[in-house]
Amino acid sequence: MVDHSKQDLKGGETLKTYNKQLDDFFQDSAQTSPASTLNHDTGVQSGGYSPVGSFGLAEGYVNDQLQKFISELLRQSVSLMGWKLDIKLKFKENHDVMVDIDMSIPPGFFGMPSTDKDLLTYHITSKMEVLSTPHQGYLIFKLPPNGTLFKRANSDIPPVAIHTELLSDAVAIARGYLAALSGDMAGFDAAAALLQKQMAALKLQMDQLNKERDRKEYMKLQAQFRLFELQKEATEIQRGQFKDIAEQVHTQMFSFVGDKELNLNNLLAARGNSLVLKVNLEQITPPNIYKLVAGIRLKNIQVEDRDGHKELYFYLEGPKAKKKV
Amino acid sequence: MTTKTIWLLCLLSPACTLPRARAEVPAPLRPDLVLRLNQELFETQGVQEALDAGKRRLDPGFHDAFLDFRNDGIHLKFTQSLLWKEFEFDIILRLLWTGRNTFEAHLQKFDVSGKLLLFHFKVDLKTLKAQLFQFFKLNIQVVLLDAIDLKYVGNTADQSLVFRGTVNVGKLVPLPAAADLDLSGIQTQDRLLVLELARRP
Repeated sequence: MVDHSKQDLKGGETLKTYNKQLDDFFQDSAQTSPASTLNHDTGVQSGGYSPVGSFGLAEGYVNDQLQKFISELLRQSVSLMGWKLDIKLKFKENHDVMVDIDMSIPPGFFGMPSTDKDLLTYHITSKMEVLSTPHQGYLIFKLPPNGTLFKRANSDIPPVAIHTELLSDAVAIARGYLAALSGDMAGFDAAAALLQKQMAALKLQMDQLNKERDRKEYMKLQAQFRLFELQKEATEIQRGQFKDIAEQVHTQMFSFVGDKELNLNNLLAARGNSLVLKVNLEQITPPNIYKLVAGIRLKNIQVEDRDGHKELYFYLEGPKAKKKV
Repeated sequence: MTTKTIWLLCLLSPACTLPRARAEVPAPLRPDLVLRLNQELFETQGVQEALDAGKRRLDPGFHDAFLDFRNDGIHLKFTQSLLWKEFEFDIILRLLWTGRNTFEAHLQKFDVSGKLLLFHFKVDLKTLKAQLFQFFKLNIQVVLLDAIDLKYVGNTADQSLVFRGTVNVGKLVPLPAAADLDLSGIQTQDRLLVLELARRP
């Protein structure tokens, strides 16, 4: 077993260290929580686990916050590409979290010209098992291999299961986008540099041609050169747009988690069919309590009100108390 | 009812329940965020050290204090030395949410060993309440730092009222997204102190 309590993930942690620690975690068997319920009046939980401290978030509150900060953020950033996105979470009593995503994409998004004005609307439903690393603030969203269903909205065609092993590829593709949202424009700079290099190579080819004799070939290269030139200009414009969005993202994220140093790539990782979200517990728990509940454990607990209303709470729990409740 | 009458009643009955003024409490809101703190947090070495360091604020005769969260309130057991005799106090302090970010602590019930002797020495109820306040404040300060501000109000006409608490939600939950939350409930359960937060209506 790896002793996660000795791992220091603060300060100058590198992505390499972070990944190593996640590897260690995945080598250990991920802990699962037994199903449990909470009696609101007595505070007694079934399942026999009594944490030293816990922090519960109501489903309704989480979704409202998601709408307020995260969805708004995504809407702003994807609207540049003409997308529409809506995300909603549903807690289940067996500790699964259902994610419903409504996504609309313009038909021309995939690079092919289209005259169709209607957006392509899809509905994605995913069942996630939420786990946590034993001693540090990592939340692991584990997707069953065939647990993500993809469906065309307003269609009778049955949903298609997406194999979630492809998640790593999706996150790898999204890395540049996440970096740009975090304010790192290196991806745009690299794209501009590549276009510049390709343009230089084309210019060399064009110089070697005889303008009159190889007129047809010359015109072809000239068109290609102009296309690269426009692409480079577009990259510059996109870079500026993303810079503005990154500033908005930073403001939004700061107002949400209070994180001054934002790097979305450091918050997100993928391992097989698991998506890993790094959460800084110190930012959401009282300072003195954090030291005592640094090892977290997650569970969904259904709480029944005195008036019979049922609400599911997503609990972050500290280590087991010595004395049983 | 005067303090002395209450004491007299307490001496005649096995355990004393103090009459409590009915506070106008707004209807509780459904919590959006719940913080459940196990009693173990109050039994750490840090708390013990702070209690030892803060003992000068307590009466020198006040010792062997023990705090226990139960469904019916906070059970406090302690020993009070008076000259050659030691008296064991068994007290129930109930927390009552009174409105936005505020709560009150009421002395619900207490039992004292060696009552007759205690009567002779005329131990004042106000002194007892002040002791309880100081002891609870020391515990809260160590575990929750300055997220909860406690003020002694034991001198009012309400014989059961001991102190009022005001919660600073920003210090309790440092997440900026939680800025629109208020304390909407506080209660004790078996070995648990439960703080409930809800969005402002």
